[in-house]
Amino acid sequence: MRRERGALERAVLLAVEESSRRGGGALTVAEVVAALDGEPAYTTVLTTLSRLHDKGALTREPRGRGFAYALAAAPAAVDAARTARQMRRLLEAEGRRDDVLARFVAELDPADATRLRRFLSDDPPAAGAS
Amino acid sequence: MRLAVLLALPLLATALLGAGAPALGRRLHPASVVRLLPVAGVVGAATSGFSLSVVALVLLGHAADVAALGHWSARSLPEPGVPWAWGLPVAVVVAVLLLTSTAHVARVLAQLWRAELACRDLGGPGSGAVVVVDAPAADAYAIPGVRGRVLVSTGMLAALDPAERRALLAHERSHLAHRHHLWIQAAEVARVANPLLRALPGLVRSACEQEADLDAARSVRSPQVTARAIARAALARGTRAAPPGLAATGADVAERIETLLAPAPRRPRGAVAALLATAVLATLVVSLVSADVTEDSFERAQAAAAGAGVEPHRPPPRSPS
Repeated sequence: MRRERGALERAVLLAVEESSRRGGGALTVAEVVAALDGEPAYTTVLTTLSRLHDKGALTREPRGRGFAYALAAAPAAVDAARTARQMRRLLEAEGRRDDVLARFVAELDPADATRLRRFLSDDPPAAGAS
Repeated sequence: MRLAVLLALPLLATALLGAGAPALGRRLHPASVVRLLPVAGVVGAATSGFSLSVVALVLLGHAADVAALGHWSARSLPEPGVPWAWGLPVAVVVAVLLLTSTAHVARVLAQLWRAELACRDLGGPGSGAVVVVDAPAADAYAIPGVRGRVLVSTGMLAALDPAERRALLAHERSHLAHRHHLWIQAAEVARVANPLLRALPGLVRSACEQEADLDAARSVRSPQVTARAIARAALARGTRAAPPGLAATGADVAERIETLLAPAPRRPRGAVAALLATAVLATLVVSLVSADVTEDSFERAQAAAAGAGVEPHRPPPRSPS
């Protein structure tokens, strides 16, 4: 499965970030491989982790015969104050405030929420007929 | 009367576009809806606005005072068949539409500029870089800019599994890559400039969401994963407290999921798209011709006034063309 280098780097960063957020601490290469979708090759992940470490995005500590990787800094902590201010400025802009922002999902109608829960509890797609 | 027909055609075309837009939205591929409807809307709004202003000008041109001011002979102008005073309400409508759409464009430009500043402030390389914000509320959106950014809260990331996250990011990057915000805003401007086109922005927003959903499904190679990402994200974001209505942005979530999982068999609709594009071009040409005819008739009316000596003041000499 081919994917661009940037995409893999982002996926790896997300995996490491989630581990630290859940208090799981640093991840070994094998653990990162397990956390990723599509079973990327061990060596590919190792290369990506080393590259991210070279860039300063990850720190590493020896563990076993290799290393365990952790985020050098939480992404939001790098510039949290400024990001928060930016978000506020965008969200509090007067008038039709998020008109130019492309939100992933709008807020739900309560009726739709029930429908979505039903869909996620693995109703077959035919449930759409309801 | 030739001019009357020329002026009526853009108004008719715009009314047809306004009435037929929902049907076009269903028939055309989302990618075509995203691009064609805003272009058609802007051309329709501009040409129908121009037609209305010519109507106002010709009607008011029959008023004696206005004719004296413009150095033309009212009798040589095209005969409207109604009293000149009917031009007053038309002129008011044109003025109001022009002012509100100018104000709207200014507001949109200000919003886009704020978004651009936010993107620059967030920094980072390339386009579509992800900014993770440490916040419990589940939210994710794309901020448009020369180098747009995707903002995701940790609350949203926690609600999704890795494949679903990729679908979310691919969806938001698709918005940025296709510059959906510009198409949506063009449709909004058309709506403000001509209330007949009020259905356009909603249709374009829905088509943008659909196109981004399709891109996301292609990127993660699974419509099911994409549909699950949408459902989980929507549930994580929560239900709205306020009654529905004003917040109608884009396609509604349940509809997006249904479209992803059971896409309507879409035959290529190249013919419909080509027909719409031709109609847009024809309207533009008709409007340009009507501008030419209008200019000619006012020039003739000025020449008539000068020749008959109706006017005490001679019009400024014109170079023969």
